[in-house]
Amino acid sequence: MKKILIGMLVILFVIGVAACGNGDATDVSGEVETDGGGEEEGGDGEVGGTLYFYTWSEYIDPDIYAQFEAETGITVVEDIFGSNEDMYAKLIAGVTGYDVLVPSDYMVAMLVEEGMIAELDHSRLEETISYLDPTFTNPPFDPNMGHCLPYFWGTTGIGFNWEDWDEAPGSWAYIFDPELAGNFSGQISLLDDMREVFGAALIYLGYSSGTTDEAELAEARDLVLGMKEHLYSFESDTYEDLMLTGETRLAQGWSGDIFVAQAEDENIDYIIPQEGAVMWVDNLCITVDAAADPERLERVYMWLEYLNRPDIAAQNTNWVWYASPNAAAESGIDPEILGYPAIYPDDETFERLQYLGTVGDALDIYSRMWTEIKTE
Amino acid sequence: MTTQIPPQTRQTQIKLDYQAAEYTSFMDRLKQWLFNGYASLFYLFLYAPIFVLVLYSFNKSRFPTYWTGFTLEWYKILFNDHLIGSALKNTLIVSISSTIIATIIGTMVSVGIERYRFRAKSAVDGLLFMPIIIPDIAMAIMLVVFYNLIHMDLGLYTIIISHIAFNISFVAIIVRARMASLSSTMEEAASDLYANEWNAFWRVTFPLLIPGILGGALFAFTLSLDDYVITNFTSGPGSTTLPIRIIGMTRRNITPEINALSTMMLLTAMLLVPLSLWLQRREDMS
Repeated sequence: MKKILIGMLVILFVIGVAACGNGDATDVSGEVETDGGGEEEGGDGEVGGTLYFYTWSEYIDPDIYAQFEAETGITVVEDIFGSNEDMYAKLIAGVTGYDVLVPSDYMVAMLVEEGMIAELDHSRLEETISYLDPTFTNPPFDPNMGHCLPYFWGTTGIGFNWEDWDEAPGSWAYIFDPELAGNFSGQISLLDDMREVFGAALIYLGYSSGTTDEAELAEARDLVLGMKEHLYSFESDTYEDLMLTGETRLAQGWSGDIFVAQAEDENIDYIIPQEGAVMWVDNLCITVDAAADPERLERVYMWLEYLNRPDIAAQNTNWVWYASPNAAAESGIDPEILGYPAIYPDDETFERLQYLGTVGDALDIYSRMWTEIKTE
Repeated sequence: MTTQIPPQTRQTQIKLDYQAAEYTSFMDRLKQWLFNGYASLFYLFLYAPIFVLVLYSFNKSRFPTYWTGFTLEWYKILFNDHLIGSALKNTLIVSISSTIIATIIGTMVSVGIERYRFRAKSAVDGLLFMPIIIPDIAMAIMLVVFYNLIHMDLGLYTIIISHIAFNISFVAIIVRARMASLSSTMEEAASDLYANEWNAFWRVTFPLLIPGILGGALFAFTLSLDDYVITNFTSGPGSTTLPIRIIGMTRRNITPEINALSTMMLLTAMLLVPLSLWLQRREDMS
């Protein structure tokens, strides 16, 4: 039996070594350290240390980590969350140690309210801020970028298939008008996302996508209920797959997702409807505990500066395929991305975009009506 | 009365018997057929998704629902993905260390409960079941609140402690089942032969327990490997494990890289199971 035990230990050891081997292999570029310290990593850069970056999956070109480390000696450790709410729950639970977060617009407002993100010191970022497109430097969820820098932005519009159209379906009516929706009965998907569905319905009705008026919301609810018989389902994760297989012909969706599907099938395209659409911005924010430690804060500002350096921002955009709020980066961005109106809409289209504002206590009305939509 | 049956009736009787026999054999065949059909359906439901998953890991298209051609590209991407590499490293650190510690403590607990009498034994017995009964999410929240209370920073260590906490119960239950099937006569015989408790344990009880301990350890390892809920709550900066990363990836785009990763995990599991069976069989033979 001793032999067996030794055997077990050997197996565990082998697995362990394999695991570490794997880890070592990643040292070459952007090794993500596992334990707290990180100081020993040093490198020949000037600052060194570790920075904890809490973000979405596949939301940065991974090569940037290695380039940053080569230049500054700072190792960036990426941790990921699946939704704004996941991240919020984690911070509310009192987790400390993250340095930079990437929340979406409405979540920034919530985090500011909870006192979980620090104010931005504009004097340290003068050059960086000068690169940004002025359209994004005074967002309603964070006036004058008091706390966060914009990172990427995009829109929620309609995905469609050119096989079905001579002219792009440039109106929410094709989804929300029961008669027009009937043309594609059972082949339309809406996002499984309360705020997005209400946002689109409200915009179609001519109201603000962040209304708190119960009567307007009831009207939006009835609109969705009226077309529900033609709905395939509420889908947030696989709607682009359904479009590719042809099971759905029209889908409410996020710009980036639909472009990925387009790479597979060029008939699939995306349009921002004439009534307007929801736009969102993901931001770079500093946690309060990072701000309390001068050494950590130093690394944070270097990271924010680095991500917004025009060449780096361009490289990142070319990898992520979302629009960058960094105007100075444009010369480095792939013309294919820049020239794509659905990623970089023209000024006139841009005018018709709205943020999903925070709705405060009206969130309860949203939840109640959302439940009514889903259960009826 | 004679028992003579008129020829006519006899013929009918034979015919009826014959029909009955045919009927029974038909029923038998039907039953056989139904059973086979049920079994095939059962295995189809169990294995068809796995087959599809593996198949699509070789798909050229980046969408898992749309076959365009064969490629090994996703495996190349997977093996060059540093983020997956570091998540795997974290996962293995957590699973291996929590398995080793939980197996040692779990075994000690079961020996203690099965072989000794002490006060509050039934309370300890009951408490042992708690982590199995409590929903994961409740346990996760309790742990986070507790770590917060004692000002322990979240990270790999807190994940390991949490995994040990739930794994002890599973190990203990499996080892106790093995223990209960062994009578104490062996140990008594050892004592009769002047073995002290220490020797009796290491030379008699422990070897007999090994299949249970191995089974428990393997079970703990598997649970720890794919735990998401508790890990997600108790993880901190720099401790993203494989399940957390996979779920994060699926929220963005489900690419065949995930299929390739799942295929690799499947292969590992398929190697582990025969290995453990082989280890146990060898033990039973010796």
